[in-house]
Amino acid sequence: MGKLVVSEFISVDGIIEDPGGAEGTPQGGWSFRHPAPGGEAYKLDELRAGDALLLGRVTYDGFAAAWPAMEETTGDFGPRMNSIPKFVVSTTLTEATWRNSTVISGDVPLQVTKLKEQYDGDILVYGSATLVDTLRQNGLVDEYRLMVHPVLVGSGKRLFRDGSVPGDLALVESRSVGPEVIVLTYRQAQPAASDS
Amino acid sequence: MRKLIESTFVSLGGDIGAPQQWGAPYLFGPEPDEYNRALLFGADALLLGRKTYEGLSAAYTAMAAGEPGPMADFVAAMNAIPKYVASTTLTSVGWNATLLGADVTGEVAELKKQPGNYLLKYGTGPLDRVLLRSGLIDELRIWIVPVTNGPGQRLFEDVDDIGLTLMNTTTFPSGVVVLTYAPAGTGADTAG
Repeated sequence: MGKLVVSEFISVDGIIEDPGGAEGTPQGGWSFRHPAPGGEAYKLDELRAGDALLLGRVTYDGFAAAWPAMEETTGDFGPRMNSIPKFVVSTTLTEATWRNSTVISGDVPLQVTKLKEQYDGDILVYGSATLVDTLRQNGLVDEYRLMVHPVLVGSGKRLFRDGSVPGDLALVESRSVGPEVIVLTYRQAQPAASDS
Repeated sequence: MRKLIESTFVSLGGDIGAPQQWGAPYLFGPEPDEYNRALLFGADALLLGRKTYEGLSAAYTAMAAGEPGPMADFVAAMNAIPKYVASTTLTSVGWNATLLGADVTGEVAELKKQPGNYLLKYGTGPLDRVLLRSGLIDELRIWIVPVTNGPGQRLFEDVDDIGLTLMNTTTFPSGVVVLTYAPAGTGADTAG
């Protein structure tokens, strides 16, 4: 049974949109302002422990445009990002051209449940704010890894959007990956004992 | 020169409204209580926005009138400490508070120039926008509560994109992480 891990760059005010600037938003690129020397090794370990990527369409498009050209310029990241199986959730894409990509549409929770049964390693979700919302509402997220960058972005897509159903998480780990950057890891808290 | 330290509770979803409802199981306990005591007892005065002033003055006045609990010393200190309140609508304040005038940033800057211990601001809201823009907040202590509640009322709504420097991280057994940040452009760097 694979573990579904939502791994995000996040600002102090909870924004996850366009940390790398590839989506061209006015606020984009904030994750590069503060060095996180330990972050690279952290992300590489994470990627190596992953069996697949699960992405929303917007994040997928940004990655698919960027990573093929970075095959040889990003150390071990590029080859693995390009070779790892990828699943993109979209109602509009009919074909996904990035290597080893499959389009998921229709009953997303059911298909993600099947993916979790199919894989033993981690299924990694990066970015993908809309998809994460769907996954969370369906109880499919096992772990959140939030790399908190010391910025207030002010506006943009948030990890937990308006009207989010309240839920409790358990802090698993807090670790520093740079002088200003920390990773907070949370898992779903154990549900309260049921009477039935 | 006194610092201005802001301490605020926020959910992972960025919610700052009603932490007494969603945050209570996480925010109370021996470790956070000690932290809160040290923070309050080290302060010269509180700086509050209107909503926080109204909520805290009602709550702590009521608590002082009830049975003394394990935080009775904290309650007494909250009621006794001098307060400064920023509001465009209030015309008078009680609870050992002084109402700030229209030039809030000027008055806060003057307060900071006085000698003594730091000023403590609880809660975040519209006042933060002007305080952050004016470089008047020296430290933000952001208590991240491990619940996913979404807004609500948001942390730092509509602030300008600003940088922060991480100063310290404190983790409580309940899963609360207090991140201490210094906003960019405060402190000695801009003193000249």
